[in-house]
Amino acid sequence: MSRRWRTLSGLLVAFSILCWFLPLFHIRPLGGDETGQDLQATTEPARSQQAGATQTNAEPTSAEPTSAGAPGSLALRAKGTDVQQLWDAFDQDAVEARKQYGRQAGLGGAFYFCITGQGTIQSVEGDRVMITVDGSPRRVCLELGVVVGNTVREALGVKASDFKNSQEFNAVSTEFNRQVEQDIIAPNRDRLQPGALVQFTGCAKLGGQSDLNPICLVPIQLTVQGHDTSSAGTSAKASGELPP
Amino acid sequence: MFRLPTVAFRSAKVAALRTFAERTTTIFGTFAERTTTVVILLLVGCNNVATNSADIANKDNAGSTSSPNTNSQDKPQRVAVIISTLNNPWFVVLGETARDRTLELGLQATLFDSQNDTAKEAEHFDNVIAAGYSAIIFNPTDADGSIASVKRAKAAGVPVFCIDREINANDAAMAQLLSDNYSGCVELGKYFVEKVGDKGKYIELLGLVGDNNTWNRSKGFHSVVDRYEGLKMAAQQSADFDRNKALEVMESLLQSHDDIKAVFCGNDAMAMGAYQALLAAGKAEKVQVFGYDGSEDVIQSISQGKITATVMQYPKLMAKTAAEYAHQYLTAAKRDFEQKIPVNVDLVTQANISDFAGYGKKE
Repeated sequence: MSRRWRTLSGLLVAFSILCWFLPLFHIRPLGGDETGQDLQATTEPARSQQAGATQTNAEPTSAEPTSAGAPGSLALRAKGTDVQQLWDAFDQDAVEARKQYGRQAGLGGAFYFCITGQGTIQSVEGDRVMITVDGSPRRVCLELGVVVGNTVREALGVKASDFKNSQEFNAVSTEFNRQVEQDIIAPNRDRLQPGALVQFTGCAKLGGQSDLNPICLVPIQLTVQGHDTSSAGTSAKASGELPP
Repeated sequence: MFRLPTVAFRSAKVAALRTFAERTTTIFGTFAERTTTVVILLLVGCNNVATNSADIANKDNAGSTSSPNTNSQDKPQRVAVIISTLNNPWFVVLGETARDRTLELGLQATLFDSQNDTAKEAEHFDNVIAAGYSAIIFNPTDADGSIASVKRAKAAGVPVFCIDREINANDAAMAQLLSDNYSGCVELGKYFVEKVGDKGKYIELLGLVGDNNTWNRSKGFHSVVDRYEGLKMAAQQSADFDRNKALEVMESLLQSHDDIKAVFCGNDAMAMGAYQALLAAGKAEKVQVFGYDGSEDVIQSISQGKITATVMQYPKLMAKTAAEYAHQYLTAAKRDFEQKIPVNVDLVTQANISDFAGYGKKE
């Protein structure tokens, strides 16, 4: 009897030691992505947000982006055209302005622009911030709502050919949109009040004349300086830009 | 002396015959190779060429010097148009436009139907390469499964121009013209929320799960709709871009989901199938259907208020451009094509339906 118990106890101790070094399972926090592939995670909205749905099909796994298409590095391409310069160019020759300052998305696609400038916030209307630009009767509008679509990607000149497939290419848009919402809009939203001075760089799709006043931008860089010119320089400064 | 059997093989045996012949070529040298080529050339003429282009295929006359476009070796400049399926009117338009534009440009053209079967598609490639075609305009069946065929063509010196569907490789095809499906479904998603509202249940019918277009459309749509917590996807199932399958799937789903407000379909064929199922269940008035493609029957259905919206792809633009690229490659030695070329798409609703006809804008 005692020998049998000793054997069982020995086996139990040996099993415990084995489990200590080779655990049967690991507990990891939800969302903890050790590989840093947040780009991949953002490509699966259907799965992440529709957990209760009946899904019968397995989605093919998207591969890693090519180095040329790494979204983080694309912020370095954000060389905007001055908004006044763009307005002047459109006034002279709209076709030439599109050709010179815009980027056409594929065959027969719209023209996208990366635009920079500064002005004073005139009003905040829900998710839209209206800005007056010195020396111009026209206005700029910053879109602070939900960011969807490919406006940022196209305006920054990301090319489909740099990616192995269109899913990876589209994942760049998802990642850019996430960065704009989290890193640019969220930290600046409360500071964007009437009277504040704003330096902005943003992306827009421009078609006809109606898109020129106001020019509505998805902001990718913002610097907000307190209230109007009289207090500029003395107030606190907040800025945001897509990380390099 | 090695001699190939002279009995007529059915198309399904072509690949096996070629594999067998390739092995024997190493043993019997050039004689077997030439014999194999002759047999395959004979088989090409009687297998799997789409019936509606048989007359064009018959015009192909190996060794003929009457063609206006010939290369330095006086070989005929022939272009193969290999389409994933001709069982869907949208793809018929795609294939026939590519073929017709190629003919307009003075080249020979033959249309092949892969019947959504990667094996059949590979067989077409083998035949086309062996028959000495100069270029291929290609609508793949599978983003991964079709890569090997394109690489075989490239190795044989035959350029491939992909249209509408892509392959997951940048180093195989000469160029790939692809509808901007993601953007199209972002716009469709916005309109979906506008029409359905920000609360309620809906069903999504996916296309072929191996096709990137399926997921680009789905992800574009969800990038908008998933931002509204009140919109719940009750079910998501594949109907393979097929109208009849969509009808069956929808009938089945309606048994367990009778409280849906809308159906988002990855193409128009499935939208028509879903609408048919809703009509039979007496729910066509209550449930809004959204498609994708811009096919003739859906454009008509939008104007009649049966389907809520679709996204217009431009199959004729893609097909014509691919034919022109092939022509430039063959006659002007152009090689610097952009690898991936997105093609613009447009949202079609009752508000702008007057601007559109089936498969494009009104001319």
